[in-house]
Amino acid sequence: MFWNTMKYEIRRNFRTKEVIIWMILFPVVLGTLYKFTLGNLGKANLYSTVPAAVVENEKDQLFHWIMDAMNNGSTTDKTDAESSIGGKPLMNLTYTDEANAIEMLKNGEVKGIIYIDPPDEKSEPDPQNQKMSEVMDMVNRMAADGSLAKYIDDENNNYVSYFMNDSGNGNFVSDTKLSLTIKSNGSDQSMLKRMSDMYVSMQQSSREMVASAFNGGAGEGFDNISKAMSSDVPYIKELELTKGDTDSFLIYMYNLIAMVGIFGSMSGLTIAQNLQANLSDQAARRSCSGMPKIKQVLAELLAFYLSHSICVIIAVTYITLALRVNFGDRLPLVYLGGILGGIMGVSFGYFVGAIGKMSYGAKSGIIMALNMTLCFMSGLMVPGIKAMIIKYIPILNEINPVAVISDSFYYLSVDADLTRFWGKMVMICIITLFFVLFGFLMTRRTKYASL
Amino acid sequence: MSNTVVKVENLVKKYKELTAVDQLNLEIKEGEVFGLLGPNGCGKTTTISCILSLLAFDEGKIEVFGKEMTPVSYDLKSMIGIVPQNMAVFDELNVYENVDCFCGMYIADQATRKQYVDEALDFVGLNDFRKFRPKKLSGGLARRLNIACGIAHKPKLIIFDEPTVAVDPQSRNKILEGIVDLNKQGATVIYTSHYMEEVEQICSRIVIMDHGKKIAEGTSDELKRTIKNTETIFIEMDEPAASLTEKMKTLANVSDVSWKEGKLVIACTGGRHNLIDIMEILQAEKVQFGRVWSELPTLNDVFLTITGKELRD
Repeated sequence: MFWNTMKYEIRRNFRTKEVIIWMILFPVVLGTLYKFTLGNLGKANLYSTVPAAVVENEKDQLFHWIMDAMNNGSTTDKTDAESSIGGKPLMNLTYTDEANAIEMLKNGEVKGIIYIDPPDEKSEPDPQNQKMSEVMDMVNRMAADGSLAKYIDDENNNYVSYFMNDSGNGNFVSDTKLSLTIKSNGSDQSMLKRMSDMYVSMQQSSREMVASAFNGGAGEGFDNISKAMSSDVPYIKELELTKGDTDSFLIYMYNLIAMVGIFGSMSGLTIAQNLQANLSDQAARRSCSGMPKIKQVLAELLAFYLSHSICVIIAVTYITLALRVNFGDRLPLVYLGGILGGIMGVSFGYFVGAIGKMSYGAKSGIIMALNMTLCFMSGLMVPGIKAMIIKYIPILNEINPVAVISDSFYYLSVDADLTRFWGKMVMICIITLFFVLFGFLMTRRTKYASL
Repeated sequence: MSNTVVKVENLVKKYKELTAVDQLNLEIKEGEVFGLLGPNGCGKTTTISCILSLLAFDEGKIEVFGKEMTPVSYDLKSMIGIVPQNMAVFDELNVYENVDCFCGMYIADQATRKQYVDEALDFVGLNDFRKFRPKKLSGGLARRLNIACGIAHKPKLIIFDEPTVAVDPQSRNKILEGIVDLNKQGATVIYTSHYMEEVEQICSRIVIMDHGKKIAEGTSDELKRTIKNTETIFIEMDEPAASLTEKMKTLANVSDVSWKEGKLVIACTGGRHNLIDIMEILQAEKVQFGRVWSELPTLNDVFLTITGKELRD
């Protein structure tokens, strides 16, 4: 009895035009549309390690330090083996001679050659440059003989500390000249150009800072540097918030899957229609049968859950395989979130459908209006609304089914830690339980005041 | 003595101010084709819904197969088949699937169910339409599908709630013949309708309802015997002179003479040779007339006599 009823409910679902259109075709079409219109959104954010050759015609310790810091910073925590995109270094630098570098560029092994050359000779010494040159010589001498160490009294001042430790092996302040040679234009070459420009800018800044600091003498100068450095923490390491892809295009896909989940409420609406004798002739006939009501309810719910889960699986699989959207190692969780979200959506529809004795059309209108309202409150229409609700009525955001689904996908896309995602999954289960329980309490009636 | 299949005692069902069923008593015996006859809105379907425990009622008691009927009397419900007035099938399923779907709510065994579904389709003559969706069927065929869904599980009690509404005469006859066959196979049948001819044709016992009350009960003949008129004679003619109608009224068995819509209508209360006596008067008065025919009393006459209105009003 149970399986037969369930079998025919599933069959009916997949023969219902609305289900085919809204649960299967709609996400496929919209996903495809997203892909072709918004597919390039995230490419700017996606990067791969750019190989480059470095020809050092002049030793520049500052260059080594900055490049190491940048690459290590991007690599984040070396122990974090799960890092997928954020774990890549920005550049893969090969220090070599010019002939080999040119050969590598020709072969495409590197995207560009960075030349580090000695500073230009000035015909007439600029008083400003001359003073700076004197200061730099003094600092380098002090670094070499170890006298700089006494100025380090703040162990947290890593930047200065780094200078102190490494400065004995090269220049503390660099005066080299950087140039870049590329073979063609592209995003990788742009990245090299930006990195080179950034280095030149930092090089200039450090020179000016040192010169300015030493106006008052060596001791005071190092104190000034120390203060300046500690008050302005430089970009050393990017702390990743996510292990997934933060591509904004993915957000659209997550929203699309969340939407498929919410659409489950439309099909869930028909559950009550199929169960309550005062809502349809078919339900009246079923109510006269020898099949217990509880079995009927369970068969209906399971059939709709299964049908909707299949729709979600089709949507996610299409997005992943046909549209080649990369959810990284979180794909199973995307399936899970979509399926649980869909189950909640179906239960929501069941709950609303069980309230009152209105026509199916009227209830469809109500559920559409409810969905829109909940979407609005969850910020899917006007982002600022969600912030307001979180500020003034936070509980509303916690129990809003649409917000719960969209939040879970948001956390899935931005959080490295899955705690918040699992929290939302638990909330989805609680809300689902609520809807099913109260829906059942309303549909378990087997006697009606009127038909 | 036959067992009582359905017993309704003092049933009262109210919708706010309206009393839909008023102190109704019914007793339906095993093997009967029991007719519930009455105009639309007289409380037939409400009574059926109460018997099936779909509707909550205000007063009374209902027993089915000797047990009190409640919403959770699944053992009793499994012995009942219902053919509702409206089409209660799924448009998304084809003919076979629909019957199998509803039969599956009673019969768990797959092989038995398949056999029952095949037999039901054969019985209603839908074997050639197994793969058709309900919307592709004609009105009559769709009605037959509605019946197949209600009888496939071989119930002991089958309730037909106006199954021939909006059905062509050919399909109607087929349906009525089918109901008689089901009864012959052992099923007790409750048949509700406002078509007196149908009820007269197939029902072994009839209850006539009006305004939620039982106004008459018995076999077709018993009911007809309750009324005064035994025959009505119609004569096509121009409006007669008052002397003619008065003369006719003097005949022994004539209770009433009236002229309606080009016909002289003469109600007779019994006796034989009424028509011969009337014809003799017409010839003596040299009255020109057209067709002449006689009709025996119907359930409509019974209803008319009791309520003062036509059954179809």
